[in-house]
Amino acid sequence: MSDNRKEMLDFCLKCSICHTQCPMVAKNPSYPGPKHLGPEAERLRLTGKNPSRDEQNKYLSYCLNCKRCDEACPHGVKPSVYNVKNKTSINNAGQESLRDWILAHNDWWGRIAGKMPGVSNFFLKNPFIKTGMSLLGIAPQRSFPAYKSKKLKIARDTKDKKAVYFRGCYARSNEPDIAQSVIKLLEYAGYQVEIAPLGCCGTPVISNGLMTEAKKIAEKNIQTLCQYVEKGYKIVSSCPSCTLTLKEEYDEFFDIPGSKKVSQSVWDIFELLLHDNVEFPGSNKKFSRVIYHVPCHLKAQGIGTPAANLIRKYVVNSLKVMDKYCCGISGTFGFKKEKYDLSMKIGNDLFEEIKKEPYSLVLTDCGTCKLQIEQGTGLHVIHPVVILAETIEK
Amino acid sequence: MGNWFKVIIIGGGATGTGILRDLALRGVDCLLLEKEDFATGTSGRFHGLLHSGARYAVKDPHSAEECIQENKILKQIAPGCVEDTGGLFVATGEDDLAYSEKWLEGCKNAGIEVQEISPQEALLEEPRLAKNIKKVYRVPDAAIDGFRLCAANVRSAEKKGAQARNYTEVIDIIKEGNKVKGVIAKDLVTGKEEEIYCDMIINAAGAWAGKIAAMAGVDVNIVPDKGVLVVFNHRFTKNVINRLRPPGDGDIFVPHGSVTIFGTTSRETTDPEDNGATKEDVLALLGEGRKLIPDLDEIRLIRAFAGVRPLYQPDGGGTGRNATRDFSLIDHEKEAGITGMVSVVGGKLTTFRLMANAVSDYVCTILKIPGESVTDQEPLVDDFCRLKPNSKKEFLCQCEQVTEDMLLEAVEGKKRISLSDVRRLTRLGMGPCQGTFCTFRAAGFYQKQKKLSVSQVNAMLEEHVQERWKGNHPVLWGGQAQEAEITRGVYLSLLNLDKLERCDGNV
Ligand SMILES: Cc1cc2nc3c(=O)[nH]c(=O)nc-3n(C[C@H](O)[C@H](O)[C@H](O)COP(=O)(O)OP(=O)(O)OC[C@H]3O[C@@H](n4cnc5c(N)ncnc54)[C@H](O)[C@@H]3O)c2cc1C
Ligand code: SF4
Ligand code: SF4
Repeated sequence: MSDNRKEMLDFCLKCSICHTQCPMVAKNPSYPGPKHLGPEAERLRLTGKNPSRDEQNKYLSYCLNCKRCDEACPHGVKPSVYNVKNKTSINNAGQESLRDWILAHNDWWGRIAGKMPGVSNFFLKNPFIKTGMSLLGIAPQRSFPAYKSKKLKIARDTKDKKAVYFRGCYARSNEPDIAQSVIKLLEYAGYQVEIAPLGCCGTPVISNGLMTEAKKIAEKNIQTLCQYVEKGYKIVSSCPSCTLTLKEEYDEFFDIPGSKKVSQSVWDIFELLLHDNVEFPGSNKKFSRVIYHVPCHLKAQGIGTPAANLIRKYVVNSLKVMDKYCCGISGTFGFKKEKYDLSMKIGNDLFEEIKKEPYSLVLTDCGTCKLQIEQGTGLHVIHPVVILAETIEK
Repeated sequence: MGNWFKVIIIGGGATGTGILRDLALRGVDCLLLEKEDFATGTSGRFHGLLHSGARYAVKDPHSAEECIQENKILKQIAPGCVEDTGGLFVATGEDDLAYSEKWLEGCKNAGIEVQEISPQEALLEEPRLAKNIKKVYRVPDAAIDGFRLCAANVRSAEKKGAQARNYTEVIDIIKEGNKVKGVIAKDLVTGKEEEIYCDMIINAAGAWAGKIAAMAGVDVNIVPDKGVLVVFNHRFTKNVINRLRPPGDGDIFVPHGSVTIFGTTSRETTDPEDNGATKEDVLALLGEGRKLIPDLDEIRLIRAFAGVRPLYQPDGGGTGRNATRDFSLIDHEKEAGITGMVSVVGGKLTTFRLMANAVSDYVCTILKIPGESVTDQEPLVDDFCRLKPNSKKEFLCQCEQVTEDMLLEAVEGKKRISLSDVRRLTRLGMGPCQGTFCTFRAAGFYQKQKKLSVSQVNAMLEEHVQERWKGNHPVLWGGQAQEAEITRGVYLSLLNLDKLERCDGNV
C-alpha cells in the first residue's frame, strides 16, 4: 500500500488542476491546497527534515476530505489520501484532541442519547451545556441534530433477493424515518431485508486521523458484512459517506482480508433500485421546483446521481441538481469552534443557490449536509428516500 | 591597489573556494576568479556523496584515510551543507564475498568504522533493497551539497576580506621571463578585460587546469573522465547505498535533499565541457541499479547529467577508475623553472579542505606568510537562502519550497541575475516539474523587484528553460515525458518563448 502511495506521488505533474476544484482553496487562501499538501509535501516529508513541516501539517486538519481533488486529477493521483493518512501525525493540543475524539465518537453518543432522546435533546439545547461545549472547542452556534428513536418495521418473509442494510449513525440515532423508508423501498423492490448489527462505518474517526481505531472498526464491519455477502446478500446504505467508506476507504487505507469482497457488494440504495429497474406507482407528481444537493461523497463514488433519476421520474416536476458545491460541514469539521465560520463560508455558495428561488423541497442524501443546509438556509431538508418511499404508501 | 593581490586563485569549485577560505582565514589578501558561477564545474556536477572512504578502502588506502578524516571534520564545520544520512555497503547475490574480506581489512587500516548488520535488519531499514542481499555493513557516509559548500566557502572568505568574482574568465597569464606576474581576466558580463597582478597564482581549475597551465607555458596532464548521474524524483532510501564490490559503474545511491542521485560511469573524454548525458548512459546505469533496488523502474526519473573528473596523470599512470583519487600539488618552479604559480589537481570533493590546507601551507611557505590553517576548526558560514520556519511569503517554487525572501537573498550583491545561479543556492526548479511552473513565476518576480527590461526577462526565461531541458531529455519517458509536454505547452504555446524579443533587440 505505502509503495502504491509513493507511485501516486511520482504521478503528480504539478498541473494544479486539483487546486481549481478544492473548496478549501477557494475560501481560505492560506490553505496550501491538495497538490501541495498531498504529493508535493509527501515528497518533502520523505526527507525527514522539512522546516515547514509543522506549519504544513497544521493545515491537514483543514482538508474537508471532500475528494473533489481526487476526482479532478487527470493523472490518477489522490491527494486526499495523503491528507487523511498524515492527519494521524498532527500533534493536536490536548484540548483539541479531546474535542476531536468526542466528535469522532458521535456513534457512542448517538447510542446513549438514542435511549433517552427527550433528555438528550433538552441538554443539547440547554445554554449551560452549550457553554461547556464551547469551552471544549465545539462551535456554540452549531445546531445539533435531534436524537430520535423508533422501532423499525421489517417484513419477516423469506425471499430470493436479500439485502442487508447498513444504517450508519444518522439514520439510526437521528432520523429513523430514513431507515424505515429504505426498508420499505427495498421490500417493495422484492428484497428480504435485514439490518446489519453494526454501528459506525468509521468515517468520523478516519477524518479525525484516529487510524488505529478506524482499522478496528473496519475489521469488525468487514468481518460481519463478509458473512452476509457469502450468504448472497447485497449490502445497501443510504448514507453517501458510509457507502463510500465501505466501497473504497477500507480498501484504500487498510489491508484487511475480505475488504475487496465487501466493497464489491456495496450499493447506494438508489443505485440498486435503478440497477434493478424498479418501477414506482406515483405518476401524479406531487412536487414542482425541487432542489437536490449532491453530497461530495456521493459524487466521489462515480455512480452519477441515481437518486435524482428516480426522483425526477416519479416525484417531482422540475428538479435542479446541484453538484457544484461542497456544503462545507465535512462531517465533524463544521462542529469545531475555530472552523465553524469557515465551514459556513464554504457552504455559502450553496445556501445562496438554494435561497435564490422558492423551492418547495430541498433534498440531500447526507445527514450532515442536511444539518449544514438547514443551518445555512433555515429551510427543512429531506432525504430523497423519504419522498420516494411515500409514493408506495399503502 | 585594486589590481594587485597577494594571491590569485583560478577556479571557483570546491578546491578553489576552499583555498580562498583557507587563505582568507590566515589574513592573506586574495582574489578568486571563476569563469561561470561558483560550483558550475565538477563541484556542481558530482554525486553529492561525502565519502567515508570505504569506497577506496581496497584500491586507494591513502585516499580512504583522507576521506574519513575529512568526513568527520566536515560534519562538524559544515552542518548546513552535510546531511548525515549514514551509508550501507551491500553485497548482492552476484557479488564476490571474497572482496568483502579485503574491504573490511582496508576499512580497518584506514580507520573507518564499519558495523555489520544482518540482511533482515537492513531490509527493515531499507525495504526497497533487493531481497537476495548477502552481506550488509554500515559506514559513516553522508550527503553533501556542492553548490551550498562552494557558496559557503566564498561567503566565509568574503567575511574575512577576500574577494571572489564569478563570470570572470582568465584568458591569459602574464609572464616576465620565467616569472608569472598576473592574469588577464575578462568580465563575461561587460566584456571588459583587465590585467590583475599578484605574487602567486594558484591554478585550481579542475578539469580545465591543463588549459590554464598551458597559458603559462607549462604542462599539467589532466585526463578528463566523464561520469553520468541520474536524479530520481524522491528519496527512497534513508542511507547512502553502495554496492560492496570493486568500484564500478552504477553502484551508489545517494539520498540528497529531496531527491536521490544515482550513478555513476567513468569514460575518458577530451573536453572538460563535455557534460551531457545520453539515454544510453541512463539505460546502462538503470540496468546496474536494479540489482540493488529491483523496482527502480517504478520511480520517476527527473534528470540526468554528467560531470568531468579532473584526473591527473603525471607520466603515463592509470586512467579512469585506475587513476589515483589522491590529489597532487605541482610546483611549476620545480617542474619547469617557472616561478609564481602552483597547480592543484585531482582529489575529490570530500577532501577539498585538506587539499586547500596543503596548498595554502605550501604557498604561504614560499611567500613567507606566517600562521597556519584553521579551516578544520572554524565553522563555515553556510546558513543562507533557506526556508525560515515562519516565512509567510508564498512559495514561488512549490516543489522545493522556495519563497520570495529566498529569491531576494539569492541575488543580493549579484551583478547579474540568472535563474540558474539562483537555482544552485535555493533549489528553485530542481523538483519534479523541473522549472515548468517556477521559472515564469520567478522571472516575473525579479522583473518587478529589480525593474528588469522585457528582453532581459525573456533571456532569463529562455536560459533557464533550456538548461532544464538539457537534463530532461535523456530521461524522457513515463512521468517526465508527460511533464515535458506540459513545459512545452506552457513555454512554447502559451508564452511563445521561441519568438520572444531577445536581449539583443531581435525579435
Ligand atoms: C560524476 C562525478 C561524481 C563525483 N562524485 C563525487 C562524490 O560523490 N564525492 C566526492 O567527494 N567527489 C566526487 N567527485 C569528484 C569531485 O566532484 C571533484 O573532484 C571536485 O568537484 C573537483 O573540484 P574542483 O574545484 O577541483 O574542480 P571544479 O569544481 O571543476 O572547479 C574548477 C572551476 O574552474 C573554472 N575554470 C575553468 N577554466 C577557467 C578559467 N579560464 N578562468 C576561470 N575559471 C575557470 C571552472 O568553471 C570550474 O568551476 C565526482 C566527480 C564526478 C565527475
Ligand atoms: S479533499 Fe477536498 S478539501 Fe481536501 S484537499 Fe481535496 S479538494 Fe481540498
Ligand atoms: S491534479 Fe493531479 S497531477 Fe495535477 S497537480 Fe493535482 S495531484 Fe498533481
